[in-house]
Amino acid sequence: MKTITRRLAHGVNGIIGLSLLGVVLVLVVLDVTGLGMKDVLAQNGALSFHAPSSSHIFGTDQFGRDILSRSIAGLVNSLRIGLIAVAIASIIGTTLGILGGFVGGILDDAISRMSDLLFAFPAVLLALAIVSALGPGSFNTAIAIAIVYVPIFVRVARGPVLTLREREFVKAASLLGFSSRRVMRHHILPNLAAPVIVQISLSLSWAVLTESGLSFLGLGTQPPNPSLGLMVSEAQAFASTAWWTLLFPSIFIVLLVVTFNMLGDGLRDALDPSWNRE
Amino acid sequence: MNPLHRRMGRVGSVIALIFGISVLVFLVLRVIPGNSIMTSFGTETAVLTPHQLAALEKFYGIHQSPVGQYVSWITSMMRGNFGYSAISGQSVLSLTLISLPVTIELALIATTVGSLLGISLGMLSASKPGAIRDFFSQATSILFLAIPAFVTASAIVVVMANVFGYFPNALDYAAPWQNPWLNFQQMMFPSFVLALTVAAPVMRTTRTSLLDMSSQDFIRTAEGKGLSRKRVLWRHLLPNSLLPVVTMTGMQFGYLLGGAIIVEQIFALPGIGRQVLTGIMQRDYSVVQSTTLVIAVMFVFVNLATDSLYRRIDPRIGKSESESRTKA
Repeated sequence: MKTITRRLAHGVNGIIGLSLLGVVLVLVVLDVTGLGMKDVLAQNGALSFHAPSSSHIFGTDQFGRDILSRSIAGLVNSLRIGLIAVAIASIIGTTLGILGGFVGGILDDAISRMSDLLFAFPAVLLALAIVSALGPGSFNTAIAIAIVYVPIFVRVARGPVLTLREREFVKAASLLGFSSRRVMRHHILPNLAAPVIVQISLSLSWAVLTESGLSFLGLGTQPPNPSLGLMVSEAQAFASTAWWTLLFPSIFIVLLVVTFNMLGDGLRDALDPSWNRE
Repeated sequence: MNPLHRRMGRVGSVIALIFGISVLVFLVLRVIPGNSIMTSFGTETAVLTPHQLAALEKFYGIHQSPVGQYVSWITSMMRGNFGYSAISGQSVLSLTLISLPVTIELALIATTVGSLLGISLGMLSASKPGAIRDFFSQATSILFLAIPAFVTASAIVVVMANVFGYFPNALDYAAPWQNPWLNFQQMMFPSFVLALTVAAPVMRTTRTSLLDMSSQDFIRTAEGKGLSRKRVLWRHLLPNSLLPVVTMTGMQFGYLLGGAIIVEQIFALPGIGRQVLTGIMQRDYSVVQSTTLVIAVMFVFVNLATDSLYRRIDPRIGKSESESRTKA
């Protein structure tokens, strides 16, 4: 873990990704501890549409709620949904990918056909259809994004497994009489860590984009809970007079997406086995 | 394996895939609570007599078992009957015939503009790796990738209305052959927004591919022959580097056919994505079900076409296949 961080800090992408992640973590800490945060739900008509000032750095929205606090809470919300979705997708997808690649046969065929099937939809449309079937809401958004992303992890894991399966150390482990389960867990899985970790980071950025998009359409997080997509959607009506209602939530979405994109690119550079500094 | 068998195998797997897609669409939409009767009658469903309910169930075809419903849906789809909207009573086929050209036009313009922009940025970036222009192009593509289309779209709508007092889509959609100028005005902003999302991955692919290719032997040979830099770039480097870009562009076009939903919604363009979204919001089963199937099938065919285009223009792969094609 330590070496990964050190390697990350060698590349430009990694450095930017890590610094932005630092900013995101500070915002998460602020949200968790409530330090300097104002009530994100309490409405105060007297304060509505106040321009950015020292008491409200990002200004206030139509209900007089502090946009900075709401943006931070919205960012944490997006992050939470993204993490849940990607955790589910990576665990299920990687497991299926390893199983298919290692066991082969009908199981592999079935898993591959299922992935092809999910790949046959434009991702946004599939997420939208699943959310509409499950009903709007944060958790259902996470499930929908997870389902859309399972086949990507299947693909990421399955490819390397096919070559790993033929390697000596895996064959030796099988010949020693280790169970398939043990071989998959202790000999194959560790060798998949690099591509899966990279994919997790890149998927997080896409998950955040999709979550905010679904919330924008009113199918994700429901008001009055703070959500960046919803804030942008509401701001459309007011932004001509209150530009801050649109600008700041948008910047927070971009911050999250760029963070995980850069981190993913940085990780790819850092974890590449052909990497030969030091 | 003989080429005819291989082609039949491919056709078979496409048919199997489309069958799978249709089953999946059918199943996903069966999870939605409520049915067509509730969509049409709302709370008044409760006062319907059992006799009326039975008659309505028969009318909507939901008296059948799920398998029966699926079979009757898919057979009528194949006969060109895509079902009817429970809200407006219009046939989904006629709705789709109106909305699909809008989306295709939008996707075509966005893909063309976006890939030209992406290729130019990629060339700029690769012309001097590590230089300021490289940094600038890469930063641009990262931003294009990270700024959601709905943010750009909302910002454009707000700025246009506020600064210029101009509302992009206050009027009904006009087809290019009806009113080219109005059509251009309506398409300009949404296609620009989508073009940015297309440009980012195209830029990345172009850059990587150009850098990979420029260290290849055939480029060194061309340079060694004393050809001008310009000629090496335009005749040798670029055509070969753009092969992966073709795949990328084709995929992006496919995505836009079903993925332009939010942008169509913001700019009030009556495309096929908006048709699905409206269907979802109104719980209009048959519209969502048939339209989703249409989009997914198109997506499969666009990807298939991209694939075969790539095989055709890349001389290195599928040689045996192109031979078999000339024979056939």
